[in-house]
Amino acid sequence: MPYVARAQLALPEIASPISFIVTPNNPGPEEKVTVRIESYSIDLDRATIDWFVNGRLFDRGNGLKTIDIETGRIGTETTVSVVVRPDAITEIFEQIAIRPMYVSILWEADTYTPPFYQGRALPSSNADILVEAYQYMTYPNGSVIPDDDFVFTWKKNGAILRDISGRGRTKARIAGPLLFGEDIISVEVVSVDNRYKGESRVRIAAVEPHISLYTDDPLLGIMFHRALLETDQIPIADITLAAIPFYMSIKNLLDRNISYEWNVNGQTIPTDPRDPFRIILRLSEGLIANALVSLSISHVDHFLQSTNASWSLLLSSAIGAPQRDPFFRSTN
Amino acid sequence: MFSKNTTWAIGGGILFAILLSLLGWFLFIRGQNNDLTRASAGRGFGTNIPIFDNANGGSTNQNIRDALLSGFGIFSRDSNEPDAEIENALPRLWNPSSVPVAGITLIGTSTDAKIQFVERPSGNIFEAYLKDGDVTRISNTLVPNVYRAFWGKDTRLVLQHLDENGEIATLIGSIEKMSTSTEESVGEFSGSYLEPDIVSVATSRERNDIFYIVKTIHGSVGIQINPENATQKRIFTSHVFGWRSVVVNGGTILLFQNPSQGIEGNAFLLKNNGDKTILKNNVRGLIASISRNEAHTLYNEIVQGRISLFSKIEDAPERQLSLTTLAEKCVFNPKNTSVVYCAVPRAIPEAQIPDAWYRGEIHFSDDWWIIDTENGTVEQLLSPESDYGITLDVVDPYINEEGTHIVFIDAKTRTPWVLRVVQ
Repeated sequence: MPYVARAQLALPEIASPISFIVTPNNPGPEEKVTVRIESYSIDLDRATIDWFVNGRLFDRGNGLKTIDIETGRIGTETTVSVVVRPDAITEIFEQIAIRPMYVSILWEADTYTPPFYQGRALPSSNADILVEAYQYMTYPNGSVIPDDDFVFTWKKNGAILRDISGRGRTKARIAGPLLFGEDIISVEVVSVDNRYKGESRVRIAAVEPHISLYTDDPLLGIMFHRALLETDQIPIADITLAAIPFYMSIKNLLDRNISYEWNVNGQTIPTDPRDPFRIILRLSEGLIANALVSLSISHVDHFLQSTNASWSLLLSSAIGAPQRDPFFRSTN
Repeated sequence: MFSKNTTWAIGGGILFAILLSLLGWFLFIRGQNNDLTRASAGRGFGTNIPIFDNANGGSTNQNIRDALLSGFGIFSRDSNEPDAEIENALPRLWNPSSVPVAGITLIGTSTDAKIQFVERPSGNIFEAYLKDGDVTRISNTLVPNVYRAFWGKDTRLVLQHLDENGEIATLIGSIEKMSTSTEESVGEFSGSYLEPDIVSVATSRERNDIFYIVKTIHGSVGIQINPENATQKRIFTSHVFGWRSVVVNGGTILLFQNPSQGIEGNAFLLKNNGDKTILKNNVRGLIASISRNEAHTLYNEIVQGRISLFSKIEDAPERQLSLTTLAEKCVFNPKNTSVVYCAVPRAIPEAQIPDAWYRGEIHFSDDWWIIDTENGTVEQLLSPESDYGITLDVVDPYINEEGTHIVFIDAKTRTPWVLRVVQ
């Protein structure tokens, strides 16, 4: 029976005693949704309740306050209606329309990762975050609704970010979480005619910066594909090492906002300001020796982005007796 | 003035002094040469640098010969294949070069099928027909430190290397034969540079179009160029920079955000006219792959060290597959896209995956498996570790149009490999 035939209600709409709770609040297309009704004036547990989805009877029962449905494709509208009979003479009708839309938050940190790195740039303490809201919704005729027809309301930990919110405001730069902290960034997307509504949220946690150490081969370049392990062996006597700091708020490895402090076998190595992320270890002929290499990287503006790491590297050129400190060190 | 004896004595002394000096100089030079040789060897010279014996030879051929002599023969043409009829066939798992490469691809069909690869140190381009496996250098143009190579239509290539400032430089061009050359002679890679800071490149072997994403001060911009008619158009913009792009077919590009464990990712299908539809949204650790006909999707959800692999066939419900691997280690069988060939790690190290893998801090030892996504059944195709005693960590797999061969790079050594799918 089409619900339209039941649209003549016993109670006026302005005083409807029935309210709908949809979970999730702003569902996407083809997504499972729980629809529940509540009332402060009617004992729903004792009422007979008929549920209709898109005009067709979906379920019926005494005290049946909840149904699970799946939303349609993008651009479709799913109408959910209930007829509640708390007694033999009263009949209450209420209806909602669910119009699913895609809303996603695309984000990455404005932090350094090396060329050709295929992972996400993550935020270390207080690094800037680049966020972008993606919405996809169509009119009933199939045409895509442009971003400028939506109002984007950005929130950080529940507080509205008014400076970056507004009509068509899909993109923003926001300050990220502090060390060990996390922020919940959300965006609510509502069409200017209030007909379509969607929401998305992401949890962004701060990470510690990370240093990876690579061989810098004169022919192959920096061997990004094979980082040196914390304990590693290097079967050559002359090696250039390149340290790559991940997730720091810098533009490149020569950024003046960071400083490198190298140490090899307890001795501080002065860095070449033109090439501070590299160091050369050179072993005398016929020796095997262990190099305990440590590196501290500090950020001038973001003290909490400082980090350090160490590696125990066994260099060997030929068989020979290890000496106390056989390394010749250079910084290019 | 001087007696004859004195003259002879002085002359002999001078001669002796000259000979002594020459001997000393010889010994000094030899010592210096030894030092240089040792230092060069330490840098990898002698093993990885091409030694150009003749126009068609090069380090790769030498490396193959070295491999044969060093017990690496299971990957040579002399391998102990069970099928005696395949007298001239290559081994099922073939390592055409021990030199790190920027990329490898398969070209042609049937008896004309061949591989091409770009050596990373030199940017030289090599090829080998699968019917005989003879590796030939087809370009001797020096492009040092090439990290990535992408093949377009015909002989078009895109090479990416780092410039003197450590920024990504992208060179687009093609291999041209020398004007006086014979059929076998070495060609020249001729091209021009695109704008700097191109973070992602996607090429199609079927179309002239080349797509790339470039960093700008306003965000990233996706540009499609057609080198044939020198046209270009902007078909994608984004506020974020970390995108992976893959050509799905002539009209569609798969885009997905650079993944990280537990971090929401989104994947889109981008049409040539700039229309963008979402493929997967808000999936944590998302890595996506899609078949050429766009009917089959593979994707990962990676949360708290757990790697889940899902398959979706058009409108059918998604299915979680029983194997644990990354979708980027898989290729769809072009003849039957419900069949997928995946390199599957034998074990998953305790690490933040995929981040630590992309940083080169961990590597996998992969086996090759066949997955039928229609029913979820799996079957092992080949195990490099069990069958040959080697470990291979597969990246950038590519399957030819006939579905007979897969080429890939070993992530740990960046060496190229060829796998014959059929027994």
